[in-house]
Amino acid sequence: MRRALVALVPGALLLLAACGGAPPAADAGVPEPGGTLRHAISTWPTCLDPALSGGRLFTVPEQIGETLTGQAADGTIVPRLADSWEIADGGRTYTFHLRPGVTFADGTAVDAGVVAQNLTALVALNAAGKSDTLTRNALNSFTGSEVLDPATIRLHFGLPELGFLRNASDPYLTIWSAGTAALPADRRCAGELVGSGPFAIQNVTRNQRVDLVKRPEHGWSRPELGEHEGPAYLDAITYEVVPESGVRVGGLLSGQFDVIDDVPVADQESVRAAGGSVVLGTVPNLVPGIYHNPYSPLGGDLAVRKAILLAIDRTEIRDTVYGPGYEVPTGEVARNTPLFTDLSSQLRHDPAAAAAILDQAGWTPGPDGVRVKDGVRLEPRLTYVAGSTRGATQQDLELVQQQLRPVGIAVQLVPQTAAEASADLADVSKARFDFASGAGAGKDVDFLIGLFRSTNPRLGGFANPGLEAAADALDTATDDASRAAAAAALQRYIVDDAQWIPVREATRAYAAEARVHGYRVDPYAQSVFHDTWLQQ
Amino acid sequence: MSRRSALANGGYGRYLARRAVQGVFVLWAAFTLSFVVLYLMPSDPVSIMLNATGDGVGVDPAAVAALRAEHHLDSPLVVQYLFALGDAVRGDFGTSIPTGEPVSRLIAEALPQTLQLTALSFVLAVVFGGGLALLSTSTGWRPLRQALLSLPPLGVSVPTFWVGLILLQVFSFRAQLFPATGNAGFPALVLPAITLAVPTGAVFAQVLAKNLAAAWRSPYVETARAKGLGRTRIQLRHALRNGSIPVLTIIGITVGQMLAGAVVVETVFSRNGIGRLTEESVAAQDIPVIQGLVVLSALVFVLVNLVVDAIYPLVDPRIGRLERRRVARTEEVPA
Repeated sequence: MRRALVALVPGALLLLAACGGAPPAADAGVPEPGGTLRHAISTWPTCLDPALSGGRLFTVPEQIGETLTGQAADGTIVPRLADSWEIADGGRTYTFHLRPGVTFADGTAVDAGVVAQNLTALVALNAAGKSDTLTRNALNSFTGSEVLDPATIRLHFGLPELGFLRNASDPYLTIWSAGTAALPADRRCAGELVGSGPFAIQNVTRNQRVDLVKRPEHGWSRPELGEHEGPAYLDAITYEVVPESGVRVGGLLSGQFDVIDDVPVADQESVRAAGGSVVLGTVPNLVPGIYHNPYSPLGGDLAVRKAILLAIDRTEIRDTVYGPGYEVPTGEVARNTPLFTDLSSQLRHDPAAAAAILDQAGWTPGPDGVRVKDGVRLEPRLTYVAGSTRGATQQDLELVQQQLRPVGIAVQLVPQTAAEASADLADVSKARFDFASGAGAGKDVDFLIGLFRSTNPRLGGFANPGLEAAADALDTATDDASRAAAAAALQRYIVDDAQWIPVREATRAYAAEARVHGYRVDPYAQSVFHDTWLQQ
Repeated sequence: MSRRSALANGGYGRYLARRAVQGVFVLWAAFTLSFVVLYLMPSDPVSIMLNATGDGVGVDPAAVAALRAEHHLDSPLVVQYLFALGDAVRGDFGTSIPTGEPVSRLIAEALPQTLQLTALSFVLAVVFGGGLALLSTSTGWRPLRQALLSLPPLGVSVPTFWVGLILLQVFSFRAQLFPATGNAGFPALVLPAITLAVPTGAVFAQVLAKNLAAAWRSPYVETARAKGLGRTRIQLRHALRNGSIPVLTIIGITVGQMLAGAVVVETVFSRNGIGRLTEESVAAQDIPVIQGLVVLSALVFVLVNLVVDAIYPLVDPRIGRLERRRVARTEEVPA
């Protein structure tokens, strides 16, 4: 929901490389209103509501709903449904002043009462276990709200919630109409969503298509988010689920679709050759990488972890498996994640240092080059979910395997099903893996707290006082300065202790036909169509 | 069926009743077997739902416990089985675990699409597979016959996936004659139906051609020829009728092949049917939906085979007569 006209903000923090030509948003020319944009999407989410499990990061809520705050391209928080706000009690009280004259697609007004209803509904969904982990975390200490007047609402939290303004910009805190807020989870999931955005849902056919129509009365877009004034240019947007990537690309090249998502690297060149553009967006998260099983002797060996961290050549992975428009990871979290800390020197490719660390720890090269210590060969089992592109993929890991071999680490790659992987996570102390591939959904660095505390099933209660203390420090920070310092310290601890070994940046690739103008992706790497227009 | 009506309908009724009872047993076995297999798998649908790809690392144990309780995944296996069986008998397969939608609604939404697809591809398979077999055995020109007979093995061996992509490339992306995706209308049905018909039609053609060839070498064809009947008349009146019995048997098996093929075809052509639903629910280990689909597939199998069994005696009276003789034997005992 954070609009960002990237072409107008060169050098923006969020690097949306539109490779092989000018970014589509940079087209000169007067926008031509009208037309229907046809968008082929690869998957249908289990839920269309971003607040609920399985609904995060789907493109439709972006177009139909709005949030209290917005996130500009450079990551700053700007007004959206709220014109202004005050924070009191060290982050325990937030007062939002709502913008007047904003309506939902059903004609009702966006007022303090409906905001309160939305929050009450989310608390109930949280309690029922229906919501996404991030929704739950955001409202963890929320104790209630008061409607001061129709345009003013005050939220109360039991703990300092310094990240709440950013949480309030995330799609999961989209403010829906009173009718939507009153619906049970399954109907919200099925797409009965009425929001205040520039488009409204006209029709949803599960697992097949969504039709959106323009709201001509929408005139409250925010220039701070890079949006033009007035309603959207497009009359309608049609989303169609096309699971097969070859069919999406073929459909784009033959003019059956205007925009497609999840474009394979191998097809990006043919899209550009046909005059289309490829738009890459970096997803803010804990980057796809490798984590260890703290109960396994090899995974628990800090020297082994540090050696792997240094022996991986991330630039080679980027160049071999991906392409020049993709980023090389420079930290534990994606660089567009708020409070990101640059750790590129710790993530350098240094096989000599890796070898030295292993030598020092007593891992000596055996006759076949694989290191041995106390009769144990350095052959860690690394599990990954076959076919999944969320963590480090099979292709990434095969290259990692090659890169680690000269250092004397013979990684055994073990493909798993999603079921086997989640069974492993249910009890890591009994699971037979030394390392595993993964990634962590995130927004603010706050999510690192939950991911690296020993209560996370992934860590299986394994005590690591240093990590726990670093996570606690971020959790209990009471002002922005100490929060930033604690966030940086936690990220440093994670890399120094090799608690997470980054492999690549998570990147979403979209392609647009030549006649599509003003198309861009937001800081969550989601398509934004408010400013998009079609050359007739 | 009462004794009186069984007698009134003769052996044919008894024959069908026996097949129907077998069908019910097949349904129960399919349900039970799939239930056991699904519950023996590692992990559970709730953990998978909260961690869709398995490689996310932020699953909340409290949410897992709450959802497990909601779907009774925490009760003993036998209790879960009996509840599920009781509901299934009443046609209630529960709700999908990730979406909360009733299984019956999900299946009802998807079924018409798949029925259209399989019905059209079945017709195409019979027409073109049968036509190919008739043509290859009718033609006297050897090179043409050899060429035609080499097509079925080719049709069986090329992957459905590949055929679909080639058809899309040629008839949708290049020629733009048919839409590449979707469920809307007849044009969107053509390419998927052809794709699905290729392996099925190839099997029909293969089996029918072989049996026609055998029929042509049999004594009754000699007799017919000696009586001075024409080649076409012998082919259609005598050889085809005898040669089609094995094809009838194959049809029962083919239905399963088509349901399996629908998984691939519906994915390639972005059609929303039973195949796509199967693929998704298996990925999500969505046990209620998978159970519903297994029982549905078993039901389709049972019904098709029941129809085939009902047709056998009409095509080949010897089959019904054998059954009648067996029935007569069993009825002699109480008498």
